Amino acid sequence: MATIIVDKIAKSFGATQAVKDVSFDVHPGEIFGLLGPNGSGKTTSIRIILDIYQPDSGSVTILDGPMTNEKLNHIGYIPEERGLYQDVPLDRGLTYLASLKGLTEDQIKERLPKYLAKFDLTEHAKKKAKELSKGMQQKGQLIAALIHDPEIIIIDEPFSALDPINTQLVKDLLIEQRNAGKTIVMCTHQMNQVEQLCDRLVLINQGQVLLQGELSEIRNRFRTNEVIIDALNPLPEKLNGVSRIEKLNGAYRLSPQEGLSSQELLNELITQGIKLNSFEVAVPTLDEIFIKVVKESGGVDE
Amino acid sequence: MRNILNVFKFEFLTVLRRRSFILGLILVPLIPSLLLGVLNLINQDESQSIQEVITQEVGSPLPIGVVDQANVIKEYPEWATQGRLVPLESEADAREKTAAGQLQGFYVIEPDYLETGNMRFIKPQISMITELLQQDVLKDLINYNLLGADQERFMRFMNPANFTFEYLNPETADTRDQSNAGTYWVPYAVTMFFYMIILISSGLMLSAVTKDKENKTIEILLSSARPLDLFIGKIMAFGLLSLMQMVVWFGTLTLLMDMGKTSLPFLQNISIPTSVLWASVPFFIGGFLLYGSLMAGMGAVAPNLREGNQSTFVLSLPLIFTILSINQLIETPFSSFTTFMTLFPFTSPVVMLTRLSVGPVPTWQLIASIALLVGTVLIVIHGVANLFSSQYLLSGQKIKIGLFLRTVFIGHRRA
Repeated sequence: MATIIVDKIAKSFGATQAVKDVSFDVHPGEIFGLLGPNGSGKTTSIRIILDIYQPDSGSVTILDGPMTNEKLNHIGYIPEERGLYQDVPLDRGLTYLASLKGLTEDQIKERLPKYLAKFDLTEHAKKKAKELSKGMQQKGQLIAALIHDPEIIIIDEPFSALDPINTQLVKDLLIEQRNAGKTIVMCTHQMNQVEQLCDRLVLINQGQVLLQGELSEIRNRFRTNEVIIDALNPLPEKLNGVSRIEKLNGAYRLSPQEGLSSQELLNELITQGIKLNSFEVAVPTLDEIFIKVVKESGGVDE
Repeated sequence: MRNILNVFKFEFLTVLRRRSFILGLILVPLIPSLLLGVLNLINQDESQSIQEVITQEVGSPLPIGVVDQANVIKEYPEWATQGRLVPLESEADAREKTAAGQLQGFYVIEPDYLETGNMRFIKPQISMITELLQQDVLKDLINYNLLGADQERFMRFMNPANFTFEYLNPETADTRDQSNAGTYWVPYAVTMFFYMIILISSGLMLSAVTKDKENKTIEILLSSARPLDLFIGKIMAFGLLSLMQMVVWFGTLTLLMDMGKTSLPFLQNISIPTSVLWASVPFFIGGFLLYGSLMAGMGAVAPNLREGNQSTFVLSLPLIFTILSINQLIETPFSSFTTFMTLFPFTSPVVMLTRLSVGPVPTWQLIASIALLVGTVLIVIHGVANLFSSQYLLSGQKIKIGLFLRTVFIGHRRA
């Protein structure tokens, strides 16, 4: 049974249709990528999942039923606009946010010091948030999302404005949480991060689903017969069995003639005396798939 | 319910721990208390020194001579002169006795006194305070003699009228003591006090809501608590804080006025009626809930505190109008205009207390005013709850005051 089932949700703000007929589901214990360019409807979809917005039509099933106040306590959310109470000591602000997630005072007293220690914030606990560095504040926000040990973690643009150290910290954290059996929804347009972390994904643009499925399946779906070779000598301008030769950085992308498999192309190259360092089937990157699909769907909303 | 309490607790303790709040709570009553104390000390010192001077000079065993060249003083009764004034035959005699130290000095009533009022006072040293007191004795003596040396007539001259007032309808009549400064100053002070405190405390609600937006915590809060829980928790917290502030400030003011009576004579006839004290709590709570809710609603739709503050002027207009009408409210407490302002829920939290500090308010007006205030508070809270929707709270758009008022008073579909 899916942890989250989004079924044909639609939402308009005035004349603007933010989301239309969006459907997808998120399975337990996976990192799910909710992808799309800026303004595509990702954040609106997340807010509908969290019951912050009511959909105009469609429904969301979460943890086997509709959203309830109690279920909100099983979700950890880090919105794109990260915030902490700037004029309040870090521990007090986190205590408040944890109390809203249903933790008792005793539970907070027990857990908060552990999380502060885990994120190297123990000595900064009594400082006001505004006195902390941006990186420290982001760690504080992670604590707010995790302290109640949620079953579902929803994180909007997880790597936005993060330095490489904190990017790695968040990546490690997401993997750790997935390994602990948590369901993670990651909303982003940074495709390289998705390729490294996500098991499945949905791509939306202009409020509509363009693509969804397992990452490997999607990449296979978009792959062609093209191959990338690293040859020891420069290639001649024309090769038998090759319809197009494209120079890459120190390599070549070859498009085989119609009906010719990559295996047959390899044989053809060897027959023609081409000496190879490497030969690989060209699998499109998620970036390439993203750009291709978005362009084909009519571009990006400004 | 638990989240309402969590919001309440956090907001209440956050403000209570704020240095500016504690200083405001303590300093506002402390400063007038200290001033009163200092005034008290100064007054005691001054009054002692004046008393000493008067005792030395007025209480001097030496009398003052009177040379009556106009022949207006026929009698020197003891009750009028207290032995301080003695008649003398001539100016030369008076000079001689003054030089010999038998007199403090002497007055010469000039022959043309009845036409000109001219007199001279001859004395080795002149002290203005003493002279004023001595002159009063002489003036009383002359008045007594000019009135034919008739004590009863003189007493009536000194106090020509003792008015008593009777009212055809005591319940609605203006029974105030017109000669008492407190009759006007108390209503002014009460009006200004409640105008200020309702405006200040409701303004806290605006900053409480916009703070969540400016800190960018609003979306995290909305993923944990319902918007209405946030609204109710905040208004409870700031309501209690404001009530605390009001009780401390107003209580201290009342106490100071009471304590100051012994040391500051001008406070002796000034007091805040007890009806104002008991009515201050429900009308303040009503006023806070009304304006606090509106300010919270403004905070919900405003992208930040600055934008919110720019639009609160419109919401504060009824209170500002109350201040502009303050003279009319105090001078004509039973006019139709004042009655309307007493009943109108947007002005009644201040005007009812103004009215009660002026005098009794008819019972039906008290009941109607409270009923209208409660009804309006419920309508406004319900309307503002519409604004406490995620769509408004997460919106960064500029406020349209028309849309705001329409949503509060007519209603709007929630996001």
